Amino acid sequence: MASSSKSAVSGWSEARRKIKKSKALYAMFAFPLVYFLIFHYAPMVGNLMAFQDYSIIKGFLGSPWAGTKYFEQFLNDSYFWQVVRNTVLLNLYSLIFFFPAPIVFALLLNELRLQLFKRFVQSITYIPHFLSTVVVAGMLVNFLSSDGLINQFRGMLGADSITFLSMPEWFRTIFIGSDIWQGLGWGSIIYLAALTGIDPTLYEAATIDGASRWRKMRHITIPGIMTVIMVMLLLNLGHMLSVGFEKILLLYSGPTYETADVIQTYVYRRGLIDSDFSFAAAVGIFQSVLSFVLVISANQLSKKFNGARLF
Amino acid sequence: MNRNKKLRISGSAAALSIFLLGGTLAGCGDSNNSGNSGSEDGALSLTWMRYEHPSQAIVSDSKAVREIEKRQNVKLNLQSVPQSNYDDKKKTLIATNTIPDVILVKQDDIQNYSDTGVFLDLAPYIDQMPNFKKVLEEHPEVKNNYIDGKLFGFPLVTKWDLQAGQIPMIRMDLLKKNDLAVPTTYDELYETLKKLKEANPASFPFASRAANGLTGTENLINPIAFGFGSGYTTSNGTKVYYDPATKRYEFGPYSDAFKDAISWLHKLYSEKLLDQDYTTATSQTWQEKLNSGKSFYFQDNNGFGNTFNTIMQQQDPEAKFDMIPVLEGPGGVKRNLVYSLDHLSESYVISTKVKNPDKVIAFIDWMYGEEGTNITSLGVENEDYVIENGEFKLTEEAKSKYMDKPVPYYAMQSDLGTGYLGLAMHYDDRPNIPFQAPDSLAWSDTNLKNVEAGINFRFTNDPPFNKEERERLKQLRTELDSFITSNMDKFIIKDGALESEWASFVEQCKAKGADELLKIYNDALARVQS
Amino acid sequence: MTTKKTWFDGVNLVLMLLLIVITLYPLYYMGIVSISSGGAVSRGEVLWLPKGINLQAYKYVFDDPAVLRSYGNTILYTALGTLISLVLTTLCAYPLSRNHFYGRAVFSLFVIFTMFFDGGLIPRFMVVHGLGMVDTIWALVIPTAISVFNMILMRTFFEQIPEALHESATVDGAGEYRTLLQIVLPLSMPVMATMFLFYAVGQWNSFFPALIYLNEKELYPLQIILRNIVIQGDMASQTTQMGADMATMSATIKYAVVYVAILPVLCIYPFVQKYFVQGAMLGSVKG
Repeated sequence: MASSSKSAVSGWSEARRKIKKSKALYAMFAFPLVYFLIFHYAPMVGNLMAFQDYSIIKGFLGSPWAGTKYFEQFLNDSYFWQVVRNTVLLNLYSLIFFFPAPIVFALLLNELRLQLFKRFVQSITYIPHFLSTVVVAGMLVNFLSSDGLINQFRGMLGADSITFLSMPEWFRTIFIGSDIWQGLGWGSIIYLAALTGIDPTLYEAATIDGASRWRKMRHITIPGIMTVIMVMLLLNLGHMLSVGFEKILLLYSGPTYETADVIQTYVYRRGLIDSDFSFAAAVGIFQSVLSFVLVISANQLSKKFNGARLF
Repeated sequence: MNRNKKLRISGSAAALSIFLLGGTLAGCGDSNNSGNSGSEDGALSLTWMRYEHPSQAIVSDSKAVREIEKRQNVKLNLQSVPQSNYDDKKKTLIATNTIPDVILVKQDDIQNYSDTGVFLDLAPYIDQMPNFKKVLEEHPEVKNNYIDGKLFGFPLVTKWDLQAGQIPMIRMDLLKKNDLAVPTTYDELYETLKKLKEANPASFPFASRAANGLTGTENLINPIAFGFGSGYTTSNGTKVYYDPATKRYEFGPYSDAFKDAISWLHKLYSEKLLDQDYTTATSQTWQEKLNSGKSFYFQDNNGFGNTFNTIMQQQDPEAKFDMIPVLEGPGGVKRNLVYSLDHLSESYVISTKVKNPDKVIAFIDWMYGEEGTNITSLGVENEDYVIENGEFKLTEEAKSKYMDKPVPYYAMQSDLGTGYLGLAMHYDDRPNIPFQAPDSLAWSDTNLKNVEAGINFRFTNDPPFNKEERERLKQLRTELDSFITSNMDKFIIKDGALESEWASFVEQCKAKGADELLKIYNDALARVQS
Repeated sequence: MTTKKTWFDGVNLVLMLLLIVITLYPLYYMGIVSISSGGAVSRGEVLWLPKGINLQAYKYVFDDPAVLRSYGNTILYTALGTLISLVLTTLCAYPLSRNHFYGRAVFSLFVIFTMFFDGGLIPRFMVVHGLGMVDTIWALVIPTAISVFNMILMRTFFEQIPEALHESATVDGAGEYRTLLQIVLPLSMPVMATMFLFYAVGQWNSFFPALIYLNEKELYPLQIILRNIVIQGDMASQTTQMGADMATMSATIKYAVVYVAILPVLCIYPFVQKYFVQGAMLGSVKG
């Protein structure tokens, strides 16, 4: 094959060769492609709303152009920086505390000897994932109230009761703590699946070499699932600018706005007064663009790090 | 080549399948949502959408639906949506112009979308509607629903209902037990609650909750501020209120009475007489506190008094919540907030895509007339109820059928398709009477008497705004709402905050546009009253 | 397999037990509330043990014919939706995992872009409406068929299959489809099982598409009916007598509903667990 030739002609025939080789793959990919075009790209036209004074009767083609008016509205809003700050901080804490939790849990589970016990723990810990946000928030309000379970324990230990839900400094802890409670078991599933892909002969060889449990984990287990971890990290970065909005809505209140109010709850409150499509669309685009940029940068870094990447 | 052939086959198979899939999808579709008002042989067929409250399931062939078909030759195709997410559904349908023939919406929706041409303007048809015209005379507040002389929705009005409100309710048995007099002023209330706390150190005598779309803070401050002579929010949370004394909208924080109310609340909070979690209190936690004897006083929907009594008396036959007379605030002010009987903020709108509007209008007029009202509120005479000497009575048959259900009244209304949560547009709640405890009936009577005496005042709805005003309101509310809310809680919870920061708080409210907010509301009000 | 038990194992055990307690207590609490008498619950008497045991709450939930019907609906939607999702996702992930797929980077970006940029509810509704899918089962299973998140995970797993296996398959004359079906899928059982779980649970819990696209109550899935009951207790109570009347049973019903909703899903997991087998790829290259 004259693949090293730099002339355009052979470059083109090179491409044609590759296309031919991928024919079956194109046929396969055709279905998902059509799906994305119809259900994801076609609606994207809707993002035009952010630049229009959208009118229902006139639709997209007829609504007057508003330029960047709504973006300016959003960016000049006096609460803008506070809610963005809260959104980012909440996500940062989530990344630091919530993200590693299922990984650590999967690793610990992996170390359990008794198969039956391991299965039992697994089955129990993934149940909280199925509870709807409404139920979890309701329970939290119950347990954290000044005469609720947590404060009763504190009473038994001789401490004063704390009104957790009115204190901004507690909000992030409560939010992330409940996320971990709900997501620990379920989140570990993907890592457990990854763990099964590690060649057991590697472990046997390591045992023969006299490696300790820790060394095995450091040199076999973790590298073995590193790709999955990196991919999960990248995928989560994509959500950096949005956050479990329904739960916040149910848990926050006046006193905790300063740490709890995030972009989405803020937009939602505004929306309660009016259905401001254009404004909501503008905010949506803002979030999307930032998330996208973030993920692309992280993607490039990750490629260099160990090759794991989204694209 | 073998491989090429395979590829070509799989390629065409793929293409073919896509076409087939698309075709099936298109064929499978049956958007029977709008424009269903076909009329063959005079029969009218309507798609009718409303939300479903979980206590009263909407049955597609309830008695009312059957009777309507029999008597009016109208076939109702009921589409019910769970109330919890009704807003999302409504907005989607409106925004894409795919609403059903008739759909229940809020006044806010009408204000927002009135100029889109999705809703039918009803004003031209009113002369064809004798029954509805009568209703308009009996309920002049419907005026507030007009927008620039146009009416877009048929509001839910009430013919008869129990009167409930945010009335002071206290544990009478505990007052007796501790030899305490019934408080008559807010100051006396404070003393009473204090003594009750001394007798029960683990309690938080005053409990409140988030309700009716308002936050816990708003729902707490509203009745207290009003009782002190001021006020806090409108029914949708805007931080101005209608003052019956001045007959205009006012901004609470501008008045001393308001400051006094907040100060009073702060006193209660800091001495642990008020639920320390009031900001996040839900209806459920609130009920638990009052049912379990952790709290003894509430100033919220008095209808709950009976529910609490029933529950408490299973354990303690003496326990009893009772209504106390309206409390007097500083300066001798004596007034209280009660709920509006009508549900004017909810209306049925008609889609402009409907095929025979005249027929639809005629049907709706029947719904407001005597026959329509009775069928959709009471049931069928002599089958479900009788009128003896002007008094409403359930038939024995009806009573026995529903008496042993967990919530008999709603079970009955679900079957019959009646009531405010059913098909009624002109709602007569007399069927509720047999299911009510004598206490509730007595309280309702007292409330009504007080309304007539000028002590109880009903919540009012917003006047209609024009487009520019609504834009401006949005912005003003964004500026003010969060600011005011977080400050209110600060003043109630934090010691010393009220004294040191009140003045600057009021200044900042001014700076953020409180005056303009007032002006918009009062201008709109003046337009309606003219 | 005879690793010495160290202090670490002890700590691990304790941690796990603690985790179980913390996870179980709230679930246990909901369980005892759902079988206690409404009055006792309202008085706050139920904390560690049920009181006034009765099954009224469950009876109330199942008495509603809508509940049973929606249960059946949800099972159907879940089965159909999971099948469609798995097929489409695989058809998407496999080509993107192959190195020689010309245009791979572009297509990947094409797909991932949709994770960030979304037209929003209203444009999507208009597309679905335009295709005539409103008020049909298809609106529930097709627009959300591929989760890019899941697809990327699947692709990651596919990429870990050694190229050597693909080559030996090609040498044997297998085309892409055969390679996929006979080599890649059997080796990918852990991830396929995981995807099955993710999609099935996602479909089981989904309520928003149903809310927006369905109008006929007969087609409603379980979540719509149940959510209404669960939220009811906390919802803004009506400003008349009625809000008060319904109050008694709300907490017990709420939790009964929660149990009814999650029970079937709990049963799936044990079946799926057996696919998480260590060393699924062992011996594959040597063979």
